Amino acid sequence: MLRIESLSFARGGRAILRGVSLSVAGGEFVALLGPNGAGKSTLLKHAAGVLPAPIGTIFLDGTDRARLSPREAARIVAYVPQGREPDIPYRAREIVAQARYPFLSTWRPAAREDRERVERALDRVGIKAFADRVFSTLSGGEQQKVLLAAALAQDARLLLVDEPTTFLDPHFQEEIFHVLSDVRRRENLALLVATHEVNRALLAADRIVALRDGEVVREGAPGTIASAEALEAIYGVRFLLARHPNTDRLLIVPRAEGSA
Amino acid sequence: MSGEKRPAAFLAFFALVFVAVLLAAPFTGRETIRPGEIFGPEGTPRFFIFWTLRVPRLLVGLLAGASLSLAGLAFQTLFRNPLATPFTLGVSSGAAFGAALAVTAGLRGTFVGIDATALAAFAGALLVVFFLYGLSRRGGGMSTLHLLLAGVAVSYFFSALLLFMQYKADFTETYRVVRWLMGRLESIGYAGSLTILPAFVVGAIVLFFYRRELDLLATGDEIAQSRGVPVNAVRVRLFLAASFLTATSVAACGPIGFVGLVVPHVLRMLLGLSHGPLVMGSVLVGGPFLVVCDAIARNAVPESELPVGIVTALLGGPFFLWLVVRRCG
Repeated sequence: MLRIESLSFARGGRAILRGVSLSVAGGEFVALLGPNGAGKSTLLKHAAGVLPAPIGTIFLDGTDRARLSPREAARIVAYVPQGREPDIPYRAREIVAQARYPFLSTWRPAAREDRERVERALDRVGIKAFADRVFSTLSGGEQQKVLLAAALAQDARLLLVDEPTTFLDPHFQEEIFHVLSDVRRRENLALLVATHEVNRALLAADRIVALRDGEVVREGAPGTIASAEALEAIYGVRFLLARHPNTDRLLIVPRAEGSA
Repeated sequence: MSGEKRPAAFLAFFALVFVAVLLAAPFTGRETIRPGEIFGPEGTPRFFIFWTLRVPRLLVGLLAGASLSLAGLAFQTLFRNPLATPFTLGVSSGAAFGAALAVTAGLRGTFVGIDATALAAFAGALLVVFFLYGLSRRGGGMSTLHLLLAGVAVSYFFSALLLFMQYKADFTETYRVVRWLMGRLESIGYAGSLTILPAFVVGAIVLFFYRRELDLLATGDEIAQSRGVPVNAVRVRLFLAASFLTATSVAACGPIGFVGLVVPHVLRMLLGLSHGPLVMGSVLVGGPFLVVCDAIARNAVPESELPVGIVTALLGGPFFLWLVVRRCG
């Protein structure tokens, strides 16, 4: 599905990614962890084509991304930017409809099936109720859902999702991850999600890749990441772990002040 | 989906207005001309007024108004800034500088049927366009905000050069430059239309062809790129199309202000933000808007004609202000 081979990237003389390799299989949910500035967003932007990737570093379905036209690539991967784009002037439905772009041309204008796809995407994410509202008037969680619905309407098989819950309250955090798992199951999508929600990643992801200072420092099943040692290698902090009451998985819990 | 029908109704209305203006404008004025008089006999004053004065004036008005509106629409979307117009980007002042240079250097006559002043204005506009284009390609590319600021700086620079030249020039030259700067549709004949026509046809086709890309660029560059738009390539083509639309209009008619700002904004309020209807609306409304302003310019003050640029700004300014204030209130 997606294969990244030793991708390096520097901006303003500062190395942001140093030889990162990573792959996502069809239908797989990979969580991308790492502290702020580790290079998670930059990695997603390269995979999404927002930043041009050097030849021979990013492969979509086995083909070098640099050899695919932007339209061809957009039919394989869709990108969900951080839901913090307050100045999109369009209505929710218009933004979702624009995502049909890779399938349309002057000779093939939007047809009934395109409009149906748009309605289905709105429905799946549960935003039909405010589909006619202007994006900038929506709350952060609603905006995130609009961007997610747009990515679904793009009919890609891999979603690249950049910190979908960063600015959201706990209710929306829960809901966004629920929607992600739901659409992944129903539409058999692969997910590469950059997030700071370590516990949700440990619970929901098939595999975790952790970046630090532009390098992969840990990679593996959630079980192999859920240890104080592994998490310290990623974040440089010794966390306290406890077992989840239902799944018995180890998760991070906050330390109580004053206790040992 | 109730919003789907409204643009179509507005566009049909605009088309009616367009046809009405096309049919009415050349017959009305200080001299009212009856339809029968336009077929001759040749040599009558009214035949002359109709075919030699009014028809070319109407055509150049329609073309320049549509071109400036299209250019304003494209610039506002490309720069994601409501204030981006042919003027704020310095393209017009580059053209004005070229024209002033031609006047003070005593360049006269025509070259391949095009007035020397118009050619110099076109050259001045292109100079600014390629300067800005070069800046935008430098290194990793400039942000649109910086490009807009660069355009404003260029605009001031050329305005200062223009003032300097006027200060040094004699009275007749200064008058000719000032008169050119006010914008005009009269006495440029069919040559003016021929100057604008190629850029208008190509520009309108390019903008309509890239209507979906314009929608996505208005949403955001990163989203556009991730949806499959080759953002940089499309941006360059749209920038060049809008620049040629501006350069040819300014070359033929002088810098006529406000059309490129007001028309796209009013259209967005009526038609929504989809660029398919907006491009069509710019052609259908921009042209008649300028022609009507010109008709007012001809008839507002007895015994003299106002420059059309004064009318567009005098009418457009308060109207636009009213729209903006009403929206905020």
